[in-house]
Amino acid sequence: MIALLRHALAALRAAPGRALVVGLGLALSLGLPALVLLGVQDLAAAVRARAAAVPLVVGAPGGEADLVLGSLYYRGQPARELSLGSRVDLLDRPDVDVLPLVLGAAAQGRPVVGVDTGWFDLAGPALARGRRPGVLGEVVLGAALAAELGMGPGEELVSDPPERADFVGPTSVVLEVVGVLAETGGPDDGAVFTDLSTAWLLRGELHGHAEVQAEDALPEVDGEAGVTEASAAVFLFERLSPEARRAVHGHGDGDSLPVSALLLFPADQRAHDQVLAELLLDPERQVVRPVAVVDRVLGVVLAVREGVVGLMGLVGLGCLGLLGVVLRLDWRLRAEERALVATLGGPRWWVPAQLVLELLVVGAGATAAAWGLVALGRQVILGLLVGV
Amino acid sequence: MTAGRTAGLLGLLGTLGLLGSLWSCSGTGPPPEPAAPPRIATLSEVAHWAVGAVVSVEAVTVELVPPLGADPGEWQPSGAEVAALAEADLIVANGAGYEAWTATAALPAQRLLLLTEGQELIERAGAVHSHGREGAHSHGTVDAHTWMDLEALALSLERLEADIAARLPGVVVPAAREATQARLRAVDADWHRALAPLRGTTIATSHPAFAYLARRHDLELNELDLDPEAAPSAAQVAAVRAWAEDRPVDILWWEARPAGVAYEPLGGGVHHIVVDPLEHGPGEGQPLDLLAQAEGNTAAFEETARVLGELTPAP
Repeated sequence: MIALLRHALAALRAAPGRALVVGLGLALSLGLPALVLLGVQDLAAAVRARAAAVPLVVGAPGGEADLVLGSLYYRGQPARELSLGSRVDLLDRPDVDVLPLVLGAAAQGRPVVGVDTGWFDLAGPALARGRRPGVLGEVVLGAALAAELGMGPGEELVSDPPERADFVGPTSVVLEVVGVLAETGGPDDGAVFTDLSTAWLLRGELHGHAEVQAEDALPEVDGEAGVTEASAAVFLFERLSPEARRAVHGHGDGDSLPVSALLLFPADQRAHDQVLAELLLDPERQVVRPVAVVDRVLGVVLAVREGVVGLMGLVGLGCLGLLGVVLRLDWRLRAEERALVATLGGPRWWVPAQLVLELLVVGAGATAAAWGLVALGRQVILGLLVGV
Repeated sequence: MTAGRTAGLLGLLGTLGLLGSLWSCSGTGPPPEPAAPPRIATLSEVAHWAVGAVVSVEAVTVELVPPLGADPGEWQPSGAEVAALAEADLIVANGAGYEAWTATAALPAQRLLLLTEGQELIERAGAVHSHGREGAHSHGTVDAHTWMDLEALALSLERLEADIAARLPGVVVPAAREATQARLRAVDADWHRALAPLRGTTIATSHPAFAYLARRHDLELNELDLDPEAAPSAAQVAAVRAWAEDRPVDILWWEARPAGVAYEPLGGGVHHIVVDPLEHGPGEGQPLDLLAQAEGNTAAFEETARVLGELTPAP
């Protein structure tokens, strides 16, 4: 038996290209369908678990998928937003916790998510290091992002300027990292979290500048007597000292500030059903159950998955057919070898057995490679959820 | 001793021993520690006083966050102090911008109660300026000294009690709130009576802290900006003198007893009277006793009316 194995290995070494091609074909035929099956299954489970953690999401009327993807997975933001004042009636309900969310800001290309401090108790992961934000300019980092940037409490992070260019609008702001969240394997790991006011500051809804004095102003314009137009001498704050924080303000009523979504956490099923029924009748707001939206999206993904796996199965069958052709050709090519073994007095089963062993060795290698492909691929697919 | 008696005695001892072991086993381990009372954090002395007027101090811990005497408009907590506030069961503030730092602090909205919720606030215009594409605007604010309207304050105690009771059952004391409301309304009536002779006369104030008082009692005020501990600038002196010109009686309300350097430059024709704005305690380190201090203002208003009556020339 050992001698047979040695012959089989020697034969494989003598024709490494053939072994590699056969092994690769087998590995891909086995691994790719398994990767698609398991990888999508993992992703679906993770996405669904995320959606199940937030019972209800309220947003401006519009695309449900955008609302859920933005508020739970920080992918983009809804096209329309609510105002902060839209939560007032919900705040009066002691049986529902309401957490506003502000999207649209970024730092180092990563989403900066403005949250009510209650988010850290109800929806967010625990803090691994440091504390939650308290004042303007303080942020906490997701675990994977902190590891990638090599940052922790006490470090500084510079925000990205907002998309709308305005030469007197907000520039980048220096943010202070005060905490790092525990790893979850989900989208929280790749984001930056701060309070609502800081998110508005980064988006430009709030800003800070020194008092506009006459000596810093441009000459008055005819017809605008008494209006002092600031010149570039009035600098917008980039670093938030206590004095700068005191000067940050918005224009207009605080309740008019925009929020991307409201996350609702009813105390029990009764409160859930009541608030859902009330909001379904509200023409100014839309309420969605993230699990239902995700199930609809995943239904499409899973159907596509079935199709892809089916196609891969056909490709796999084709590969097996090709393998059969290769084996048949190999058998024919070994006619001289078979004759030689017979001449030397070897048993008739020697060459077939050697061929089977060669196939088993290549098959074992292909299986190991397929297993590695699936394991690595599942990590990559789950990494898409984190976005890092 | 007979065998029967011996058996009976042994049986009795055994039963007593069994009962004793059962009794000792039933209470194994130390008694559980009582749960800590809920904690209400207050963000200004006015809010602290209001919470104290509606809750039982045995049932809840009420903690004033800023140091006693700190100006809520100037004091700023650190990020760590604000983050620690998230641990409180409830947070109570006056609102209306009084605790200025709360406008941009990360406080849990669900647990933040404002005394001024639902009140009609007095708006103040700021200087008009422009920058960027939004055009001309002003950083106008609202007047924060809402508690100077004692009737509005009494109503806010009722709302506060209801809000606290909805979130922390068993800590409010309606009887205490009712008693405080009754006293507030009594003082409000005293103020109304004492201030009646002042209607139609413009009183100057050193600090814009009395607008709600003026609205409540139909007064006209000229709000200046004078520091009771510092000498006025030339512009401030000019403003006072311009106001005092052609006026038969010049009365200036100070929010604290002014030093000589503060009032002497304003001229001898101005009558200076101290009216407590009810923001802090009467002395350093003393907590605000809003009712007692409000009752003290009645005398100041009566003094104002007396001066006005004595010095107003007869028609």
